[in-house]
Amino acid sequence: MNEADPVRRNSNSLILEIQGLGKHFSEFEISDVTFSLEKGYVMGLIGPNGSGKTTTIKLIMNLLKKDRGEVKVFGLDHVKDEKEIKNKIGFVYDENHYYGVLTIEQMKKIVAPMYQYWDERLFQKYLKDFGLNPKQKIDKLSKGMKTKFSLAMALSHHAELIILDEPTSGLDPVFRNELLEILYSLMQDENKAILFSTHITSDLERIADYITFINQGRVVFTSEKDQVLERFSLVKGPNYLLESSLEKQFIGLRKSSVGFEGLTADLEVILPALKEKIIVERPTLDEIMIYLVNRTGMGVT
Amino acid sequence: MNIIISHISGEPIYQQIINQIKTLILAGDMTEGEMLPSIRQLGKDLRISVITTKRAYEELERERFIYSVPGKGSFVALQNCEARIENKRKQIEEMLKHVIKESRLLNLGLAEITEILKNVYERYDPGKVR
Amino acid sequence: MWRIILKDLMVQKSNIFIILFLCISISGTMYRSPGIAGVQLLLGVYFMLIYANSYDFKYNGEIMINSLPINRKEIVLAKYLSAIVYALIIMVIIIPESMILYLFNFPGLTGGIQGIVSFLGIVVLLLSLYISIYLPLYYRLGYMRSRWANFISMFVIFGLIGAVGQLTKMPADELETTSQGLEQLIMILNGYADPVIYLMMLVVGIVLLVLSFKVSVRIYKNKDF
Repeated sequence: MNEADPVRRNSNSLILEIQGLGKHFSEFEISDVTFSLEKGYVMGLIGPNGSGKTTTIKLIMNLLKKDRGEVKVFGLDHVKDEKEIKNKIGFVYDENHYYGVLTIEQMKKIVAPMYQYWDERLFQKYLKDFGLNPKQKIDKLSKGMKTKFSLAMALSHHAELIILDEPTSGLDPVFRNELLEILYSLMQDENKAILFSTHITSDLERIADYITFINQGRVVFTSEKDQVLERFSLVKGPNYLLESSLEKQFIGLRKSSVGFEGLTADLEVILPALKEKIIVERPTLDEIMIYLVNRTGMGVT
Repeated sequence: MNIIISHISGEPIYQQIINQIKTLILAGDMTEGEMLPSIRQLGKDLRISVITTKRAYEELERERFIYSVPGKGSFVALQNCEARIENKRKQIEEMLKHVIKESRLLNLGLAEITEILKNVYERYDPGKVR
Repeated sequence: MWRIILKDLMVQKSNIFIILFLCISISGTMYRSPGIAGVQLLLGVYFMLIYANSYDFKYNGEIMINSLPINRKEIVLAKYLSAIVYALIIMVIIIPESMILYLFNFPGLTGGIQGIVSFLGIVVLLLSLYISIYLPLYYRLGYMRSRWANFISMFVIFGLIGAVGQLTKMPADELETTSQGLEQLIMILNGYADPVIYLMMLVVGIVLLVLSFKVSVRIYKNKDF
């Protein structure tokens, strides 16, 4: 199901270009990761835990040294022009890496002058909107507040690329909703782009324009989200309808005592064969991911 | 402009947007020259992807329901309503001609065709799961 | 880059008491002996360096720092400069303190301005030695494993301080009982005026630091977080 990168239309508008990225670890490997993101759009990076999403982001940010491949951000090389591009990147990571012993204000005093376009007014506005007290020690903040603080930092220097790595894991739907609202507001500016990695795909189901699915260190597909959801169909029906030639048309099948459920990308082939005793639905991103992951041998179909 | 979409109806979201905007325009609820929300604003309000709204607007523009001014936005185009409705009727006539041609191959008469039409009409609801 | 040094200072607020205690507990060190002053300064820098590094470790702060618009060389430079800043802070405390105590004839203090100059010369060298050994090891081994390396290098340097302290106190004829090479070295050194010797020490110190810095940058540039 590997697809040529669909985003590479207009190089000038590419905020992020990744080509053949690879790194070898003792127990894991990232290989041949290729995808791009145009400005004005949101890309969701999905995949099961441990699939390589965080590793990919760390490689982009040069926190991990790549073995091979090319990464360009704003058209510049991510290692040679590291400083220049990081000026325009806002980051929110899964864990808080800010110095918890310091207060929000102190941390800001350290970080803000390092950015060329720091906007103090914007930062204060975010603090107020998020209900953050600048005199509060970062250690004493709840997980949600820590994420909000990271977000405030990430959004207060006119960053053009916002990278979020699992920002909502461990957080309730109310907060996740707030985050989505903030991201939607951000995307009113068509010069920005967001790379959002998560294993909670329902967050992405709405806002993402593109989806890149990573599993076991490889890109399974990178595509427009709408196209992904339209390409696959969830077919449910009675077991007796299945025969081996038909089963091959399914990416994954779940059989129970009361019927089967399967994911297919070839609905036109299957429909006539099954006539009418079936239900056809659009799958969620979750379901697509589960079936694809299980197909590549990580579970039982 | 009110647009209500369903995520579970099975109908592609961009199609729902197109249909609803068309209806609004044809019914006169939106007037010529009225500005539509930007694709990004619409994406935010409906909580969907910007590519989806873009696709809907592009289709609407292709069918000349709206036009876009770069840097400004999208606006309702001048509608020649009667011409449109007449156009649509002609399209339906053509489709019916095709249906009749096919039916003749099976020797179906008018009564039988009408029966089939009734059945399909009753069962077919574009709003339901396919 | 200066902000990173600021960060290292900010996280140390609670460390102030230990440092002040250290500085004041051995009072008037400038006028006692360069050896004691050296130990005091070294311990001070040691504590502050370790303390700052422990916070880097605790919060995994390097992931955040390396995501900021700064390159790896600057981060390492900030660490080296911070050690020097710590040394300056401690000197700013103990030099005036010593001078004041001397002025008020605090018992046991001898020497004059000479004390300060010799202090600076020797201590700069020893400090450079310590930093030059510790920091590359810190970058290579990480915080946890470098702690013992830190400890051991401290001991080595204390030993050196002791040896140097002894040597400079020995009168010329006793030196004959020690090794020939050392005797010659001391002869040569004694041939130079004191300021020149201290200048040489300064230069050696700086060279050590620069070499160590290059090694550290090499290590840090290849690090994965």
